[in-house]
Amino acid sequence: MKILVVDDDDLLVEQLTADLLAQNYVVDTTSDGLLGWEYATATPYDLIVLDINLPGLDGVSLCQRLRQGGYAGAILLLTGRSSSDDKVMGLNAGADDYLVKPYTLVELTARLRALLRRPQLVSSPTLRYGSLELDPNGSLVTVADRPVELSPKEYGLLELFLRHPDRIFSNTLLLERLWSVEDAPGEETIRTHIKRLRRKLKQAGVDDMIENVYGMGYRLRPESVGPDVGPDVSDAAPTPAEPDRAAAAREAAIAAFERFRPTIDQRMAALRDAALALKANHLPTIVQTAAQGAAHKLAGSLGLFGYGAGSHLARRLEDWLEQPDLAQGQTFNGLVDQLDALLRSPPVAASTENNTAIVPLPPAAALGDRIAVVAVDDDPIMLAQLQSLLPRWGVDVLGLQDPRQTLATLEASPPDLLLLDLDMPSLSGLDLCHQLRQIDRWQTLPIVCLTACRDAATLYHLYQAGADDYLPKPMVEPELVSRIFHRVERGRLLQTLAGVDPHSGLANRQKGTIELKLLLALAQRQGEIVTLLVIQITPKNPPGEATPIRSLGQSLTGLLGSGDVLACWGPSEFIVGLWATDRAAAQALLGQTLKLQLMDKLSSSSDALGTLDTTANGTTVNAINIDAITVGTATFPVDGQTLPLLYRQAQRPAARLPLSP
Amino acid sequence: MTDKRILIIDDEADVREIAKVSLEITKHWQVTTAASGDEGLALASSCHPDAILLDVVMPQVDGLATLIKLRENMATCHIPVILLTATIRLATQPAYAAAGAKAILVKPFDPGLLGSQIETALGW
Repeated sequence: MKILVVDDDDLLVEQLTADLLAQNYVVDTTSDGLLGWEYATATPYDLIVLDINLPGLDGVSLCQRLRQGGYAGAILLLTGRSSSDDKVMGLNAGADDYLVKPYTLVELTARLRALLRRPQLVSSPTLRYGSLELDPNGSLVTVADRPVELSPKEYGLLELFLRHPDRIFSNTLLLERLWSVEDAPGEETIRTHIKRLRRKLKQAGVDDMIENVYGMGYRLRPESVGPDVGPDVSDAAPTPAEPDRAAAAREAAIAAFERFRPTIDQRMAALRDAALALKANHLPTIVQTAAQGAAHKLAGSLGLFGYGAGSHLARRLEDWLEQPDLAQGQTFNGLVDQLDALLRSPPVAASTENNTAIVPLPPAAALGDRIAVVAVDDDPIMLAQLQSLLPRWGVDVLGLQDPRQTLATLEASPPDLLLLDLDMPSLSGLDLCHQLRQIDRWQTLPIVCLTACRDAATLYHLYQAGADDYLPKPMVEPELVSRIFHRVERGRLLQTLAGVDPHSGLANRQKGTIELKLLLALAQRQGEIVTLLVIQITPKNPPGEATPIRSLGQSLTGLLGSGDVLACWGPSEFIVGLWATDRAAAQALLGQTLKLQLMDKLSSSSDALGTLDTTANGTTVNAINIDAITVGTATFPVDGQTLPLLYRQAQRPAARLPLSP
Repeated sequence: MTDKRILIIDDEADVREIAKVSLEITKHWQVTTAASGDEGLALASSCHPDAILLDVVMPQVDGLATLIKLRENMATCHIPVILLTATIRLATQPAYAAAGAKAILVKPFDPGLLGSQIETALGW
């Protein structure tokens, strides 16, 4: 992966480069916008990090130029300004993400990795050359709508030429763009690929598309303005301004109404049938179902033809039919009469901007589990509103009216996100936020503030206190929902990258591997021994409500010294690395102690996990959620020198540490 | 400007027609329409649209079934889908988001704004 960093902050560039190099990325840096453009056009990058304020050429313009030049990789903008206009401008210019200064290096690398992980970064528009079309999203090439079969390399060549219509590509440049260093072929191979591509294009009806430039390379032959190029009607006709076109579309819709009048009349007839039936105080199911279907369709369509009020009436009719109350039949009949009258009056071609909504759905990845949110607000109406809105989006809300109970509540049921009202009488949201951020455990908890004030000073204090985001009051459902999803997803990502296992709160497998390898390397250098303990828990089948893993993790933490490593290896597995400890010492230290201590800690833990019983096969826990605990050991360097080997050794039955007295 | 292809799948002729006219007038997009889930599935794999507007309530193959089939087909699994519904609650079931729908558009939409709303929802 190749990354270009364009920033004039030397200190940041130095830190970032060191960090990225440590993660095996190839990094180029420059402090000038124009040089950045040179770099980016000379070498393909997977990701470009751009500061907004740059000498030479500013970040937003550079971003725009890169996108126009066909750069398809990721772009992350760094900005010192937090006004949303700048962000919008940046995103419109083609950036994939932005980060507001000051930020932490951890956050920056997290964003970079998230961007690099995205498989399809930009949904690229279809590339065209005469009747040839190349759709980068589906890797599909067609000529006059007939597909052309190309090999991956031929496709790559064609895409490259189409993306850079004015550029001459030398053999070296083609090699650099389309082949990796390891499998770079000779120039003869490139000629063969070009020849095959030309032949296939010719067979499909596009001749002479790629030309040789003597002594220099290849390029796309400039498109002739012949019959091959269809006239672009939309560009030929004078393009009316956006509002005019919107008005034209509304008028066209109204003009189409007469054509659909018979359909609308049929639907109205179904409603009148129901009205008639209701006058006789009897609504047969078949009539009710037909009327309900008709009302549903009218609700969805009348507004299209300038009858917004009609859609509204139809929706009320649909609701009424959902649970018909025969005694209130005249309500229904009244609504049908109103709708009838409305449809005889002329339609109104008005913008319904405030009434039509497009609601973004959360990304599928965010839907793995339900999201738990704790909402702190002194206003019970607000809490009730949140509790009625959010559950259908998969978000469960625990409402808290007294902010002073926040800490206790968080500890009792750790949420995925905290919604915090800023304006509360007993304790200010800012103070609370600040207090929470002082506590290790809540440093990474996503906190979103709700506030009626949106002035710069308030927002500054809000971020200063450690909030991640804010939502203006009054809340709008789509915004509320998408912010929550966004924050929770990012929070989970940051936790993973920071090396924290979300269930146990311990180091995750990734971070644990690094720490254990460091421990082993240190032991090797100092001629010291290390004993690895693999602690496996068999959860009750089926597992109970509460997962014991957090309590267990905390119990283990208390048993270890400062040089030891503890990590959560999987959903029911811990790994401990004990510095300067052999198997016998581990046994002495932990055998009886582990049992007693675990027993003690488990029985006194808040979720009362129970007591331990020792059997020949290991230790059984008389617990609500655990069936058994086994502890396997392996010692460095006698049982193995590498982590995988030691881990395998510890898995053998003979390596099991007897926990019996 | 004719750089986007949109497929509209809706069993109601008036909604199909107005959406088509609206997108053609305001954005000059190429619009193809299908009157049923099955027809839509066939068109989606043959005409490679840039986005699909999919009605939730349809007889026989409904919106969710269509969406799932679109996702199972290699040729169509990457196409962004926006759900069309007159009743928002029908489309907020997690199944739709889980199947990868991008957004919900509430009917009736404003023919003057439909195109811009699609652009916003899909980040075009």
